[in-house]
Amino acid sequence: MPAIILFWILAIVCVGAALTMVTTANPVRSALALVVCFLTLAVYYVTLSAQFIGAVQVVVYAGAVMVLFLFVIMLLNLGAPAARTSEGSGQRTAAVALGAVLLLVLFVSGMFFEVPGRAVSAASAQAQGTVKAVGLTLYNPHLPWLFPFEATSLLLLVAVVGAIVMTRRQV
Amino acid sequence: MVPVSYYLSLSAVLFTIGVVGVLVKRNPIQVFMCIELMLNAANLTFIALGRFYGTATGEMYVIFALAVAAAEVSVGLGIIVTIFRSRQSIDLDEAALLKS
Amino acid sequence: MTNLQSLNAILPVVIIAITGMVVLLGESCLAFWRRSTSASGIVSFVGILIAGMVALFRLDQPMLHFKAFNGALAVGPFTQACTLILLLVSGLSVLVALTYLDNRGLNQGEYYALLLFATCGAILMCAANDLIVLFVSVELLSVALYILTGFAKTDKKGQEAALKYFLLGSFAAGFLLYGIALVFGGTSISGLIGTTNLTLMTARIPDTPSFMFMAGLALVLVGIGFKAALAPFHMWAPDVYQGAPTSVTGFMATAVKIGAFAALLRLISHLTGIAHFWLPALEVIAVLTMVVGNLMAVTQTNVKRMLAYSSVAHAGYLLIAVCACASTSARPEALQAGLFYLLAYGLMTMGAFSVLVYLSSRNHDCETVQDIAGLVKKEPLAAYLMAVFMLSLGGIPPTMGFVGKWLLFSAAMQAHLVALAVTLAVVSMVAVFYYLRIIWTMCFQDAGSDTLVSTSVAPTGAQVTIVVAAAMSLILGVLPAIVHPMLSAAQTLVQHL
Repeated sequence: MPAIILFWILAIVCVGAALTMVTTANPVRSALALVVCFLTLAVYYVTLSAQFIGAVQVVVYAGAVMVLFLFVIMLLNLGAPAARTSEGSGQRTAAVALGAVLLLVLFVSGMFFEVPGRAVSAASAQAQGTVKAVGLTLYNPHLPWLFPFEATSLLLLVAVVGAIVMTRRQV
Repeated sequence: MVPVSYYLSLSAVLFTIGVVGVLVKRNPIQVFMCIELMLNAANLTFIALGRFYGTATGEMYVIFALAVAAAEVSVGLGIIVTIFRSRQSIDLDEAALLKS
Repeated sequence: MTNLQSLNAILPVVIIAITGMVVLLGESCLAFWRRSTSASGIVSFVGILIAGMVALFRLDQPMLHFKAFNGALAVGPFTQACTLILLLVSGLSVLVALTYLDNRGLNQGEYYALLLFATCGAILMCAANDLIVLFVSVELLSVALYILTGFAKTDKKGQEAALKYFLLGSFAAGFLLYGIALVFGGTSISGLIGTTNLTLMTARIPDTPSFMFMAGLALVLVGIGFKAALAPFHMWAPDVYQGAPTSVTGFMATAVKIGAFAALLRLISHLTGIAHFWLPALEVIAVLTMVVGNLMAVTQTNVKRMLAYSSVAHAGYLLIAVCACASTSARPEALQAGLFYLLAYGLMTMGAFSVLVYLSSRNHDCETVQDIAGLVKKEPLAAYLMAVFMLSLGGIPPTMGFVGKWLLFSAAMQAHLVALAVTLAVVSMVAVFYYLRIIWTMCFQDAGSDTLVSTSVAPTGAQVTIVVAAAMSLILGVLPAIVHPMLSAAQTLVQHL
């Protein structure tokens, strides 16, 4: 029962933060709301016994990524939203309608889902979330995760080179 | 114990908020934040499913998704900064040189 | 296969990745390398050539009928054939870039490194046997292309295109990832944990799959549809193709489409058991893509935009091959037709864009219809070869485009997809109109006063590309049997799922 109450409290905070992020016109507020949303997700991960990913979520998403966002917003001085007279209301209605359909489909797909025939005890699930368990799975030579890991390293190299290429001044 | 369907429904809500946000927002930075929310909704699904399968498989997907998101952020913000440097504005409506 | 054998099996990708790193290191550490404007390009080309030779040699080696890296990659003949097509395309783009970067004063080795890494991503898309590998490789290709699109930093159009491409590409990535998450949940039946491995997935899908699996599959298809510019997810294509540097547009138009369709063909051939679920949706998208692409192309006055819409239309044609895979009897033909059309599309599109590169000068990109008006008087050879590409894109014999369309048409008829075959025939008539208009403009319209000035730098790379692409389009249009060994090897995708 306490778990369910915690779930609902976090869900309200999380969805509220996400809605704030979408509705506010001020990018700084958006970013801060998104930080709150990411932090509640980190708490969810810990309650789902994925402690390592929870910590990574705080460090990488709520920390590095959102700081980068805020940094760019401040750098470009986008804090004050420009006064907006004509928002495309037709497009907005269409987007919300599309969202409603999507939500219905995704809800139906998830709502009645149960993992069939498996009951995992909390203790054994707890053991799967440690750095050790994650590392042993990721680098296991008999599992297929090694290759996407290598491909990811190439992707990060591209990102590093790309960020430099994009932002260095013309020589 | 919270059933897995709760988490799946929550991530469906977050994903939809992200999608609608991408479609209605005009500021590229905010659009990009909405995309990050979509990726995080997927991550929540992976973690929840992995927990109920009782393996670390779900966490593998999240690690790759995190790396991809980080790569996208660095490149995307680089593009935004470059555009701002050359025209002092990044509004999607004002950025309209490309027309038929 | 052990991991070392697996690494050996994807040797072409390894060679390309290492070449990319060598280019990066050489560019940043060696002074003599930096002084030469074409060292990076030449090294990249040599790397692609070596990788291409390896892939050619391995086209039908029995040891490759396995999965590499414990099921993460499929390295069979289908992958090798797609690798060959991609290496051909990226080799030609390196040659085009040698000219274009010189002309525009953009000589930076990073361009070639990013092009090579993007090629790795595209090849891995063809080989991905697990949806998460597909996701990572799609992103590898896309992130490199976002940067290449905005590579000309003084060009405002290029930057705007980069932003649009980036935002829509990441949006698509969000759909793809969420779709993978739902597939991961939807494939868990009777006590087995979910999987995104295609081979395991096939065994796991019941005749009536769960709603969650279908929703996940739909989102994955939306994600791939964005990348392949299928209608109604094609809105970004014209803007991005127009704004990107022409040499990048050529690569983007070909490599992304080849990678996306190879991935789609592989995914769909694993899902033939539930074809009645996805076939109607794909048929509608195919018809929509063909009609929208061709109708929009008619009104364009910018050649790059026109080619963008034409590439949307060609994505619709290629989708016919994907749809035909649903029928067991037509599947070998459909796979052959799809691969042949990918090769044809790659060659003729790359050729058309390289003609535009050849005609561009330092401060003027050749891109509007005005720019090529009366071309036949100034650059007769370029005009004739452009006409070859236009005829090929329009599907007029004796070119490769005609053979490709014919193969697609017969595959559609064999799979009893009459509606698709009829649409293909009808929209091809419309297509002929706007391709012929380009030829008419080149031959019979007077050049305006401010049209192209002859190029300042000798554009050798682009010339080679144009000639190679035109020659291959014509030769394979007359003798398509030359590539038959490649195609017949690749159709073993059916037997070695």
